[in-house]
Formats: sequence, C-alpha cells, structure tokens
Amino acid sequence: MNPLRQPLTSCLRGTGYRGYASALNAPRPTSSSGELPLRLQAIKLYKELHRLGRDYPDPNYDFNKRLRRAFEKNAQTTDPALLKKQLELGEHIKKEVLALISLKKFRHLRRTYHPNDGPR
Amino acid sequence: MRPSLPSLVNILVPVKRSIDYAVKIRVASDGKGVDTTVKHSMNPFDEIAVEEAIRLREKNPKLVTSITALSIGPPKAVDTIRTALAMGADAGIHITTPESAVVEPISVANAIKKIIERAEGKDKFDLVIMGKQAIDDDSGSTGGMLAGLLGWGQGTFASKVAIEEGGKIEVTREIDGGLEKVEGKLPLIVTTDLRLNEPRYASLPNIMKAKKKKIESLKPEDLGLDFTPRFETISVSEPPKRQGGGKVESVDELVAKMKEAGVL
Repeated sequence: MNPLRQPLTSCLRGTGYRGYASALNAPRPTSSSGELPLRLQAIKLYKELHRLGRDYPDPNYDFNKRLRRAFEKNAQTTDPALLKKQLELGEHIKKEVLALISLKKFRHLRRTYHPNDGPR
Repeated sequence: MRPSLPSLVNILVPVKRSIDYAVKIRVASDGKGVDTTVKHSMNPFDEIAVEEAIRLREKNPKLVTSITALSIGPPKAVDTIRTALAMGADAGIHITTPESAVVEPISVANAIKKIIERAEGKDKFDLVIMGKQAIDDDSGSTGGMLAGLLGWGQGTFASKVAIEEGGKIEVTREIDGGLEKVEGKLPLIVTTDLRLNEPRYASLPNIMKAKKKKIESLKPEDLGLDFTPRFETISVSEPPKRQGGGKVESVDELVAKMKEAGVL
C-alpha cells in the first residue's frame, strides 16, 4: 500500500485510541523501515511547529499563518524523496525556532539582571 | 540531619506564573498595578530551577525519587504547573488564590513551609530548588525567608549544584565580582541564577503525557493560611519617556553642541 494514500485512521484502528494526539504519543512503526509514514510525520511536525508558534518571541510575526501557508504549498506533493527533503527542512526550522526562543529569553534576562557581564 | 547520603531525595520546585518576558508591561488604568490581561508563562528563573531538578535526577537516577512542582496563584497557574510536568516533574500541587489577589513573598514562604511540613516520612522533601526571583515583582526574598522559617541551610544565586559524598551538596554561588563555593547538608534550599543551566523546551509528546500527571489542588484555608497582603500599593507609574535626539547639519554645529553639553 502506498503510505501516502493510507488513511490516518488505519493507523489508529483497533488500538483503542481516539484522536491524533494519542497516535503521536505512541508512534507505531507501520512501514518496514521502522519509521512513521510520511503523512504522519508531516502531521507530527506541523503540530510541533504550531505549538512552538505560540511562544515565538516577536508578536508582530504571524508564525502560525506562515507555517500553514508553507504546509499548504506542499499539500499536493506526492514524491517521497521531495517530501523527505521538505520534512528535513521543517525539522531544521524547528531547531532554529527552539534556539531562537531560548536565546531571546536568555538575552532578555541577561540584559535585565546582569547588565555589566559583557559578551558571553 | 542525616549522617550519610540519603538514598532517596524528594525535590520540591516552587514555580510562579508571571507575565511573559517578551510582553511590554503597561500600567493598569487604576494606576495601582500592571495590566495582567496579557500573556503569562512560567518565571524564567523557575524554569531554570525545574531544569536543574531534572538534571540532578538524570545525573543521579537512584538518588532522586520525585520532583514536585508547586504553584500558588489563580486557576490559570495550573498551566504553569503543567509546563513543569511536561519538562519532567512528577506531580504538582496547586494552591488556588482569587484572580486578582496579590500574594506577598512572606505568604508564599509560609505556604511552602506548610507544604513541606505536611509531607511526612517517605514523601518528605529534602531539597527545595527555586528561582532566585520572579521577573514580575523582583523581590528575590522568598528563598531566604523560607530558609529562615524552616531553619534549613541555603545556597542562593547558584551557578552550579553538585551532590557530594556524605549527603552534602556543593553550591557555587554568583557573588559580586566572582564565585563563592558553599557546602551544605540536606535538607537544603537552593535558589537558581541565570548561569546554572539552559532550560529545555517541553516536547509535544511530553506535553500530552503531562496532562495525565496528577495535580493536587488546595485552598489556602485547607492549610490554615491567610494570604491577606501586609502592604498596600499606593501607585505604579511608568518610567519617564526618553528624550529624543536631534540631527545636526554640520560639524561646527556638532562641536558647538558638544561644547554646550560639556563633553569637549
């Protein structure tokens, strides 16, 4: 079966779980390589990025809107190699946003509470 | 006092729900406080405290039995406890207060003391790790007050915490112009400084798992506590606005202005 066309519910059926969140909690490897199907990987990545968007430091930057547009752009893509590349890009952005959030927080605190410490 | 390294340490981490660091603070319309209808999150210094508790357990898996997060605040403070649980704490305690109530450091210290005294036997708390101050009121006094009330040792402004042989904990403190090492026996109170660690960001699966962890909800009356403030806020005002600069047309004018200002 083509993993892309496999309906999401088929991964959940018979497990007693309801909702997509529980699928994320207990990822069940369905493909032979032990990885999640690409479709689930994309949903997982989207949810994680969407959560990060809440904590994006700049309130004027609509992170979640841009995130949605970026995912919509690839919605019709079916080439597994290309999808993998896009997922990697998403993972990279996730790391960057995480780093940005913690750096912003750290810099704010250092500026406020340790102004004379110099660069670190 | 215990003679040797205790086999089981329970860590209590008090966390505060405060206005998010990225939000611009505005004075409330009545001039007696700040606008609290903005985004809130966990006090960053408390995040460092939660992270340190988790790291102590990761380094000494057999030593640390439990990490409990405690928060005093309005119903929404549960979100703050959930954040701590998502990071890796085991259980939560929430003392509910009315939405607009101001809880002073001494009340907080008394409340934490009650929670510590309430737990007995196996569940006894041996180590309290807390942020050195909250970024909203900047009192920075709860840790010291708690140590005084309980008669425990304290290592404040910690930039490094290490568990030593014989139940001792070595705390490296940040002081003016350098570092100071202090050593104390459990039970102990540690307050965290900025350099201690870099807090992790809770992953989505862990956030989901945290929803199943237990949070005990208590009212102040259940513990015999009274949060009536001792102080009254007379007024809160914004700092004076910065005077804007001006443009100069020529070098002569610049020199003249600098002379006028007494720089040259």
